[in-house]
Parts: sequence; structure tokens; C-alpha cells
Amino acid sequence: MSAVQIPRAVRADHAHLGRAVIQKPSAGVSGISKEIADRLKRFAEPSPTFLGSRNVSPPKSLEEQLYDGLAAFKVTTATIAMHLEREWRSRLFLQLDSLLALDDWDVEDPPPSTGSFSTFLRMLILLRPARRPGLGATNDGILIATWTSDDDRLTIDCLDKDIARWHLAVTIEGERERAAGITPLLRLNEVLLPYGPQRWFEHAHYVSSP
Amino acid sequence: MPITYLPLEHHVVRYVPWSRLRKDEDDNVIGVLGAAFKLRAQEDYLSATWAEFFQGTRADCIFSAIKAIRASSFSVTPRSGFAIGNVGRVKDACLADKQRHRIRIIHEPEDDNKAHSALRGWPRDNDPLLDLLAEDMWSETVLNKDVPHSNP
Repeated sequence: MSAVQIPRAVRADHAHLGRAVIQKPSAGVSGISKEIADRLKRFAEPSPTFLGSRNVSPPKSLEEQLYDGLAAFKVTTATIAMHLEREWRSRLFLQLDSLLALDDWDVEDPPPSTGSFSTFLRMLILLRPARRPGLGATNDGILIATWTSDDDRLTIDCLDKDIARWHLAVTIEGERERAAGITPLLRLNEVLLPYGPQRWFEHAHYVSSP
Repeated sequence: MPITYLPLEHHVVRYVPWSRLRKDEDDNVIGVLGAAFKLRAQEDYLSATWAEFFQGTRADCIFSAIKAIRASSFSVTPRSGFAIGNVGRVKDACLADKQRHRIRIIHEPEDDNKAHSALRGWPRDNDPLLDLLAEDMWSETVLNKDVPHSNP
């Protein structure tokens, strides 16, 4: 599968992609995050073709919303493709296809927001997990990343603006422990460290530095 | 009409869409997410279906509850699932939380689902509790694809 493959006939709705809201990272981000943010910002700027006035579009159907969301996620991911190993990225795309499949989407749910997806991508770059997360979504447009290893569970809701809302349950030396918090992405690795996050992420051979 | 509280030893079945099932990186379903029990902004209570409203063995009751959900106006999608929880354990977990949620699980039949039940006083902002329910007290999961459409 190529870096960006959208499993439907391409429609002429590029204007939506130009309008994509890309969130800025929080202050004090690393060089990698800044580079990602710059790329996302450039990506969000409309091309000269679309600088003119736009017509007001009718409300989009659920199918259109899901399609457009998926397209935006894949194109956004492609802008940081150098940080994700090809096979890893392709499989992530398959998961996104599966999560946002029209046949299984709850009609009352909005698709995950681009802000949530941007946080998700930055989280992957910062955590550098060898294992991809399982994917889910809340009923209000937040992407959920989960890692499960036997009974040890880590669940991260990717909120806008590089904020992670996380919950975990682990068994350490025979004792069950639970923890939860809302943490800026940059500190996420640090707050997870006491719980041995390698149990979920394993090694980091599949995510490369630029 | 008198209020019917569900007996503690009975069970409730909740529909869980594909996006709220807990999956591994290859989309194998492991269970449900805490988000499966989160109220929508406009909801006052959590909806579920009372299994023992129906007659028969435990399996019969759960099958009938799933059939009732399928027959309702709800859109049950192919890869969705159903989470089964024990009434007493769910109530105890909510009460044991530090916010001490005193929930009520009430039979509130609807035109399209006579076994419909409402979980009232449901926590609105307590994700750790919802995660605990998903992991333990309300974790039993049946996939829609694994439940036949006719009597087993």
C-alpha cells in the first residue's frame, strides 16, 4: 500500500483539506514536535487555487464526513511519514479505515476531530511505541489509543492541543494498581514511567528519527 | 405505575458500537472501552436492556435481550458488540467510588423495547470509574456477529 491510499474514488473536495484545523503544540515542545507542527501548518494553508471566495456548502452526510476525516488523517500522517516505518504506517492506515468504516460507525457520533488526530500523531512520535495502539473513539469526537498486555491496560484519549487524558491498570508485584491523569504530551512518557510502559510499547525499532 | 428496580442478581445488556470496543493493534476485540458507558451530552441516563425480563436460562435471557435491541429503532452494526453487567456489582462499584454515585437501575419500557432500563444518577465525569466498569463489573462482551439471528 502506498503512503496515502484512500479506498474510494477521489472526489473533488480538496477545499476541505485546506480548511483543516491543525492545532499548535504546547509551549516548550521538542525540535521534532516543532518540525511536525510546521509541516502540519504548511499543509493546512490553502493553495493559490483555493484562495478565492468559497461557496457555502450544504451540511455533509455522515459518509462524506467520515470520508473527509479519513482523507485528512492520512494526508496529515503522510506529512510526517519519515517518522513512521512504512509497514507500521500502512497498518495504522488499515486501522483507521476500519475504525471509520461507514457500515460500523454509530450514526450519532461525529468523526474524531483533526485536533484530536494531530495530538494522536504527536503522541506516537513522542512515545515511539513498537506496537501500534488499538483504536477507538468517544461519542464526542475524541480518538482513543489503547494498549493491552494481558490484564495490563493503558487507555489514552487524545484531546485537542497536545493533551492526553489517560487511565491505566497494571499488576505490579502481585498488587493491582490504577492511575489516571490529564497530562501534556511532553510529560506523558515521564508520568507513565513508574508503571513500566515497555509492557505495552515493547521496543522502539519501528519508529525512526529524522 | 410503580417503579421497578432491577434485582441485584439480574443483568443488564448494553449495546456497544465498534468504535467503543477495546481492540488490539490488529483489530481483535479484547473487550469494551470505558467510553462505552459515557453519557452523551443530551442524555440524562444510560440505556440498557434488562436480560431477566425474559424467561429461560441465563444464555436465553441474554439472547432475548440482544434480540430486543436488534428489533428496536437502534442501528445495530455488523461489528458491534454487547456488554453484559451484573446489576448489583455495577451499583456497588459506583457507590464504592470516591464520588459515591448512588445510581438507580429502573425498568423503563419503551415502545420498541419492553425490556429497556434506565441507569439513573449515572456519573457524567468520572472516566476512571467507567474504565473500571469496562475492565471488571461490566466487561463480559458478546459480539453481534457471534449471536445468531434465530433461536440458538
